[in-house]
Amino acid sequence: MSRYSSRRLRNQIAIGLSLASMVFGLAWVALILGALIWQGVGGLSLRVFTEMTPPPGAQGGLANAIVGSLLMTTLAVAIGTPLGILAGTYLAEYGRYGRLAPVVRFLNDILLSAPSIVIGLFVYELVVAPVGHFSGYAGALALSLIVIPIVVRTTEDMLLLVPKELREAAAALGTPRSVVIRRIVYRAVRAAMLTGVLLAIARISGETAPLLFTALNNQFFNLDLSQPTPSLQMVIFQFALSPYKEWQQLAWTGALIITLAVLALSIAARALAGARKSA
Amino acid sequence: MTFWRGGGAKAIGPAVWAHRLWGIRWAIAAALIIAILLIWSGLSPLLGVLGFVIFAIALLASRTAPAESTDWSQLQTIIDALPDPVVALNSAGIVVAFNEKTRTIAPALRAQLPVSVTLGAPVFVEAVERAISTGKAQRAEFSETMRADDCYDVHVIPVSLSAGPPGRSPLLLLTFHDLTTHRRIEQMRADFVANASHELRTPLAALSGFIDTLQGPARNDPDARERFLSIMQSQARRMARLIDDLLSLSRIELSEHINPDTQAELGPIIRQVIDALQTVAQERGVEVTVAAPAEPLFVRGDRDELIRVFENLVENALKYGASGKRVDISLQTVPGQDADGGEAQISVRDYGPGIAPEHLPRLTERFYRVDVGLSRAEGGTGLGLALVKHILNRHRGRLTIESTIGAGSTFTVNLPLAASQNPDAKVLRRLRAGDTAFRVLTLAAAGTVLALLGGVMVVLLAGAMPALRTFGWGFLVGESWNPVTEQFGALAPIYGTLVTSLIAMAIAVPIGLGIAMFLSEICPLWLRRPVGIIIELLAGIPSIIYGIWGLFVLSPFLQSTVQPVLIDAFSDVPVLANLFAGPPYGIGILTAGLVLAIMVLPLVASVSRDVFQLVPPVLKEAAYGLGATTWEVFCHVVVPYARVGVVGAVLLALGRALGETMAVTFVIGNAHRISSSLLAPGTTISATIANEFTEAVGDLYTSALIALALVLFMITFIVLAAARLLLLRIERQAGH
Repeated sequence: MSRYSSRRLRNQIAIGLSLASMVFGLAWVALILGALIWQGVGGLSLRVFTEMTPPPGAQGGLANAIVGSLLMTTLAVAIGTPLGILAGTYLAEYGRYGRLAPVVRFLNDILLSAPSIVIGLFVYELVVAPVGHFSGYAGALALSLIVIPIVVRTTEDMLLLVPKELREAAAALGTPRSVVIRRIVYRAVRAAMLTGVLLAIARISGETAPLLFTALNNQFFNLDLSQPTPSLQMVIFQFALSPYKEWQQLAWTGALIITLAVLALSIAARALAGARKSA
Repeated sequence: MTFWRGGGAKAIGPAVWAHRLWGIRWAIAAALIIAILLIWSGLSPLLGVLGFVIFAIALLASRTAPAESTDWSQLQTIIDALPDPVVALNSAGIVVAFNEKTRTIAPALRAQLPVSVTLGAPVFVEAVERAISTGKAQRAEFSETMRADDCYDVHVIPVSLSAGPPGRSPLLLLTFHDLTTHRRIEQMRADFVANASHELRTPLAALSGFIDTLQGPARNDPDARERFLSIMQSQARRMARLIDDLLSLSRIELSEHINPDTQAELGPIIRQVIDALQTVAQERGVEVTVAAPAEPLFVRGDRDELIRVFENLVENALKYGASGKRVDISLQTVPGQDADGGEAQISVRDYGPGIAPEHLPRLTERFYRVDVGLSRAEGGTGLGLALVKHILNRHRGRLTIESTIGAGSTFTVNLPLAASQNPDAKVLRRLRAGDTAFRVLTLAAAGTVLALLGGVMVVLLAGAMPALRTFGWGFLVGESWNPVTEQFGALAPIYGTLVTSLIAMAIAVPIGLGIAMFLSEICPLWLRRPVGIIIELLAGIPSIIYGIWGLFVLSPFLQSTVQPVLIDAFSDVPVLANLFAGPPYGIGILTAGLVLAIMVLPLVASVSRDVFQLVPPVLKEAAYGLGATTWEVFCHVVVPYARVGVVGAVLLALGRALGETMAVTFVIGNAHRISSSLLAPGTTISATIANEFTEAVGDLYTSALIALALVLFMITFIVLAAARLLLLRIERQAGH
C-alpha cells in the first residue's frame, strides 16, 4: 500500500470514528429523551398540576411539589442573584487588577462545579442541625449557594465585554464610579445578566442532592417555608425508588416536566444571548 | 484682507523706485550688455537703445507679473500662528497681512492701506521707511498714544521669500513685542528696592548713630545709656519685623497660585486675633465688638495665613482708628459672586479719622503709607496690607476698603466658603458615600464567595472531627461499614467513586473528543451551531433524569441483554473473567459508570470543542496547505496546541463524575463492599451520603458520613483546581 493511500485510509478511519462517536452520543440523548417522553407523557394530565402527591396506591398529582419547587427556586434566585452580581461586579470592576480577585475567581470556579451534595451537607450543618428541623428556607439557601457561582461567573464575563470607552465616557462626564456601573454598565449587559440568571434557574430546578438534607420532602401542600417543603426533584427521587406503579409514573411525569422546564429555560437564555450577539 | 493682489502701489517715493531697480540689477546689467553689443555690432544705436528698453520692460514684467496673482493665504496662516502681534507690509508700506493679536495694538488696522494710517507714531513710521530704503532690519520702541502705559518693542524686518517666484518685491515683517509688563515690573522693582533700602536704612542709621554715641560721649552716662539702648532695641525690633514681613511676603507670592487645601474655621481665628491684640486695645482704650453667626463658618484656607490677615486688619483699626474708641468686627455669609457656593464676609470697622479717597487704591502697595510719621510711630512696616492682599489672592478672596473722612473706615474681606457648606458639596458627599457603599457591598459579596468555600471546609472538618478522631487514618482504608457496631471505613465508597468515575472517563473521553473533533474539524459550518447548541443543552439536563432513566431503562436492558453476554464471553479470559463475574444484577458499578459516562459526555464534548476552537485557524490552514489530512491536522496541530485545555476539560468532567449524586444513587446498588466484579453492586461516597444521611442515628454515624463528604470534597477540589488551572493557562495562551 502506498504511503498516500495509507494516509488516506487512516484519515477515513478517523473521520468515520468521529462520526460514529457523534452518532453514539446523539443516540443516547435520543434514547433518554425518547424514554422520558414515552413514559412521561402518558401520566401528563391536568390532575398532575392540581392534586397533591398521593399516598401509595392512590391517584394523585404533583401540585404541592411544583409549588414547593417554584417557591424555593424563587427564594434561592432572590438570594443568590444580587450577591452573585455584586461579587461579579467586584471581580470585573473594582478588583480587576487587585490581588483578591484572582483568588475569589478561582474559588468561585471551584464552587461552580463542587459536588452539590457537599453543599447540601454544608447547609445542613449550618442551618438544619442548629435549628433542629428541615425547612424550605434551608433548601432555598442550599440552592442559592449553587446560584451564586453561576451568576458571579456570567456577570464577570459579561462586564468584561463592555467596552472601556463606555465607562470612560461616563466618567469623563463626572459620573461617580458606582453610578457608572449601575446606570451605564449594567444597562449594557442587562440581557446577558438575565441569561446568566436563567441558566442558574435551569441548573437549580434540577438539583436534587442539595435538597436531600435541607428541604427534605412533604406529602402535603405547604406554603410555609419554615417547614419541610416538597419539591419536584425530591418527589421524583422518592417515587422512582418506590415499588408502586402510580408513584413511578408520577416520577416519570415529574422528570418530563423538569426536563422541559430546563430545556425551555436554556433555550430562552441562549436566544437572549443570541439576540444580543446579532444586535 | 487675507489676499494681496500685488501691484497696488499708490504713493511710491524715489527710495522705493531705487529699491525696485536694485531688485532687477542683474536684468539691467544683462540688458546693458546686450545694448552695447548691438551698438558695437554696427547696428543703429537707436535700435540698440530700443532693444534695451524692450528687454528691460520684458524683464520687469516677468518679475512682477507672477506676483499679481499670488495669494497670501500661506503667509496669513504663518502669521496667525505666531504668539505676538505681527504685521506684514509690502515694500510700499501697504499692509498685506496681519494677525488677530494686532488688534490689541491697532484695532483699526486694515489690509491694503498704508500702515501709517493706523500706526502713525513718528518713531515707528521712520523705522519702516528706513527698513524699506536700506533693506536692513530696524528696531524701535513705540508707545501707542491712546494708552501711554503700553509699550512695544517693534522689529521691522525685510524678508525675501526664497520659496516664492523670483523677482518678487521684498516683504516687511513688523513684530511687536509687548514690553508693558516688563516695564511695569522693572518700575516696581526699582520702587521696591528704593523703599526697602530706605525703610531698612532708617533704623540702621539710628542704630549706628546710637552705637557711636554710646561708644563716645554717652559712654559714662548710665541714664542716657539706658534710654539709648531702649531706642536701639525698638529700632532693631522694627528691622526684624520688616525683614520678617518681607520674607513672608515673598513666600506667599511664591505659593500664590496654589490653592490652600486645608479648611479653617473663621470664628476661632477671629477670637484668637482679638485675644492677641487685647493689650493693644486696652492701651488705647478701644472697645472691640464681634458679631458672628452661631453656626461655624468654614473656609478653605491656611489657618496661620488667615490669622495674619485679620491680625493686620484689626491691628490697623486699633492703631489708626483708635480715636473712635470702638472697633466692630462682623462675620456673615453672603451669596458668592459665582453661581457656586457662598462666601464668608468679614468686615473690620473703625470709627477713626478715615482715609482720603486718593489713598484708597494704593493702600495695598508695599511701603505705601498715608501718614508716614504716624505709621513709623506705631511700629508699622508698610507691608501689612500688601501681605493681606497677597494672602487673599491665594485664597481666592477679595479685600474692599471703604472710608469716609471723619467717620472711619471699613475693611471687608470676602472668602469663598469651604466645600462642606456648599449645597453641591452635599450632593457630592452623598455620591461619594454611595460610591464607597457600593464598592464595599461588592467587596463584601466577593468576600462571601470566598467565605463560602472556606466555610464549607471548616464546617465539614468540624463535623467530621469525631469520626476522624475515632478512626484516624483507618477511616480511609477501613473496609467495613457497620452502623450497628459503629465501625466505619470509607474504603468501599472511595473505591466505588473512583472506579465508576474511571469507567465513565474511559468511555466519555474518547467519544467526547470524537464529537469535539467532528464539531471543530469535520462538521459543515451550517450544522456546527445547531449541533453545538444541542450538546450544550444536554450538558444542562439535570442528573436526576439520567438517574431515573438508568434505573428504569438502562439497567433492565443491561441485566437482560448485555451482562449475560459479557459474563459468557469473558468467562475463560483470566483477568476479565473476574471483572465480569457473578449474576447479572442490572444495577451495579458498571451501570453507574455507564450512566455517568452518558452524563459527562456532553460536558467533555462541549468544553473540548471550546478548547479546539481556540486553535488559531492559521495553524490549521498552514497544515492543510502542506497537504495534511484532516486526521493529521487534528492530531499533529490541534491536539498538541490544545493539549493542556483538553486535560483541563477531562479533569472538569472527572470532577463532575466524582461528585455526582443522583445519576449514581439510582443505579449503584448501595452495597458497602468491594467486589472484583464490575457487575456487582457497590456504592460511592455521594450515594452513601444520599441514602444514609437522613436515617443516620448517633453522632459517630453522622460524623462518619460528613467525613466521607470531606473526603469527596478534597478529591474533587484537587481535581477541579487542576482542571481550572490548566484551562486558565490555555485561555491565557490564546489571549496573547
